[in-house]
Amino acid sequence: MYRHEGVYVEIVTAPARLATSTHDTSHGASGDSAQSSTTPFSGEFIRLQCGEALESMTEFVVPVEVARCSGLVAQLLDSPMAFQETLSRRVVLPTIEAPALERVLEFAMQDILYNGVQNERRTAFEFGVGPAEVMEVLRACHFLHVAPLLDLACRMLAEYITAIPSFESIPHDALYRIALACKPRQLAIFQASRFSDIQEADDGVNSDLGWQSHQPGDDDEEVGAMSLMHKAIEEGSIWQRVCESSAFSWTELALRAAMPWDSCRSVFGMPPLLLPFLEEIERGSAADWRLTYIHCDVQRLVDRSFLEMLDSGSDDESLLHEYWMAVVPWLRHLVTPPTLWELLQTHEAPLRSPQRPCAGAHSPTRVRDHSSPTRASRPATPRGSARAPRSPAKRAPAVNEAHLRVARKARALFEAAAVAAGEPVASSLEPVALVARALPRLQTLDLSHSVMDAESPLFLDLLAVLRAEPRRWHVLRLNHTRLTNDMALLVCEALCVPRSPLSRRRAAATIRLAARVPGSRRADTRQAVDRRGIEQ
Amino acid sequence: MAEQLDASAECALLRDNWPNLRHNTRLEHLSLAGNPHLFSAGWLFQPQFRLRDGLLGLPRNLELLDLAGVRLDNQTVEALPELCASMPRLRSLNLSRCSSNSEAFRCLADVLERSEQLQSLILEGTIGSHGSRVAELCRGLRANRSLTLLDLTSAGLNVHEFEPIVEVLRSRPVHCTLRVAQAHAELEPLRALSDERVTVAMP
Repeated sequence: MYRHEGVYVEIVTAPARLATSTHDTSHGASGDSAQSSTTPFSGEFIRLQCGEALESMTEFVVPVEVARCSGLVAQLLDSPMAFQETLSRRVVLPTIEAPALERVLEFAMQDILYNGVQNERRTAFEFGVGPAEVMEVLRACHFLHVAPLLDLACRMLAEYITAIPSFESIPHDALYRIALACKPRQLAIFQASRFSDIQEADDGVNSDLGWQSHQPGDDDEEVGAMSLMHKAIEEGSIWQRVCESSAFSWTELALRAAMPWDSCRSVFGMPPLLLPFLEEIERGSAADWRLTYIHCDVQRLVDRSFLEMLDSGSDDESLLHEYWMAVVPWLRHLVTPPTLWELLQTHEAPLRSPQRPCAGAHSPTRVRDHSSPTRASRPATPRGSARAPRSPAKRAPAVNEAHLRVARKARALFEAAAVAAGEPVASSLEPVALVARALPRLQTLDLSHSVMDAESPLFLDLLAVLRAEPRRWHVLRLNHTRLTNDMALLVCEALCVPRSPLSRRRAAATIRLAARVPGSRRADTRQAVDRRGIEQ
Repeated sequence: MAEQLDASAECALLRDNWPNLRHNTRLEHLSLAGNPHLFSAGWLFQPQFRLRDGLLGLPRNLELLDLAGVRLDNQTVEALPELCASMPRLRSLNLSRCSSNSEAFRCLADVLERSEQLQSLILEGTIGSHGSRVAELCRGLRANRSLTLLDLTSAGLNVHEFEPIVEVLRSRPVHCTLRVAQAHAELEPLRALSDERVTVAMP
């Protein structure tokens, strides 16, 4: 560090703890052009100036790649708006103190040396932040938008949440991250220690304890939200204990989504997982919010690990069957992934490797092949092309067998659910009909990303199901299905229903009433007819 | 004359009782996003399928209409206010990445002016850097009292084009969340926007 025109200038070099054998660290101060092939730095530097008063003003000269770890600086440098910072390559950060910025830059330097400039696979490295400086570091990295360090600071604060003296200076989204990183039990204990009853909660609302969005006049609403949150956490703890006895427990995630630090307006304005439960709890029925939880739980299961567990061959598979049979009678909403539709379409004929259908034209002859939807969704071969059919020996048998095995198990799972629901099941039942029978309370039909055309079996199956029960479906999602106008017209026609008998009776009564109202055209005509009849 | 009137009444009764999508009161969410070939001929909005005249219409209880990525032609755009007015419970309208023009934004402003229930309007990547579109959007926002979420992520607006939207949102009596791209959220005018009326959020 040296003094230049009254300003401390610090040139950041690579940290000494990093082994020089893997990374060239000689580039930092001098910016020489002799760089090895492994260095991620280009030799270009920018200046970051922090502090407000001249005495405390410090300027850091850092490699531009390190500075770009900050989202704010990167945006200023790359902006087409020709900011002063863009032109002068100097960014002034008056609200950040030099020690905090130094720590942030140290982290950025280590991060870029370990993980490179654009590397999605990150290597973990040790970076110590002391309790005395963590708040300043959090504020600095939040302002500079250094996401990994912000995450690290939030996790550390979550670990020592009971030692935080005040939440006043912590930004809202950082509070949310801290709440997410905090363990549920610790969160509940901490909240109980801070707000042991509603009166204290009322005092807490008026204090600076994280309720930054509190507005005068909202006291009742805030206290109500507090008691609701207490109840939610209490209910969640009970439910968690119930779930912990089984193999399937994701309640921790649901509890982690609670945000006791923010105002109720923000709580109810954002969609963490616990919010549906809060609404149900507000209605006074604990069973309903647990039902909502089941929906979230099954959806997570289907989204993440359904297929893996389906073919795990371990205890998880039998547990999945047991859990599935227990919850499917209650399912009303389920977003089904396209892979599931592919599996349910798969019959006994072996497939090629399971891949997502590509967006190509469809050959009608192939589309009609019910046993091979994946093959059907491949682009059609032009007529006359001398492309020899692939022999079975050239296919990958392991992948085929595995896919077929999973398909059989998925179908068996749904067929068992349909039989348990008392629905007749045939082996030739198409997938949408099978799902509709297996999940008798399902009200959401989601065929997004399943590429269809007007003659594909999946689309015809969809139409048949919609025509059979048009009033059943509350949500219909056909995103990215290559729907055409004609197909959409067919879907809407399948969903058309006659007016309900009650409405029909109302309409008829309205017409009769209109006939009796004096002065109306129809009533006058009817009276004229009556008079004519009397005269005759 | 009496027979004619009776016949027309019976026809009206028959037409009203004919199977119609509008009578399907259960359907609440209809999501048709990402189908670029849809609506290119104004399918749902053609005169023979209009709500009052023909066989088809959208369900009256529809709460969410997701048309993201759907190509909106002029016929569709012109019918948009009438369509939205026919769905009194519509709460969320997604027109993200719709290829639209200034005429579309004039109609969208009409939608905002008329709607009393619309809470969420998603225009991700739709506006582009056109002053007239922003002006139309502001006109609609000024008259609207129900919108609580306006998504302008990747809308292609610069700071100066955001300013009138900011002013309009501030002048409204309801709290609104303005969702913008991360790059824009860092800029000073938008940072200063967040207050008790408006929250600037990043996706």
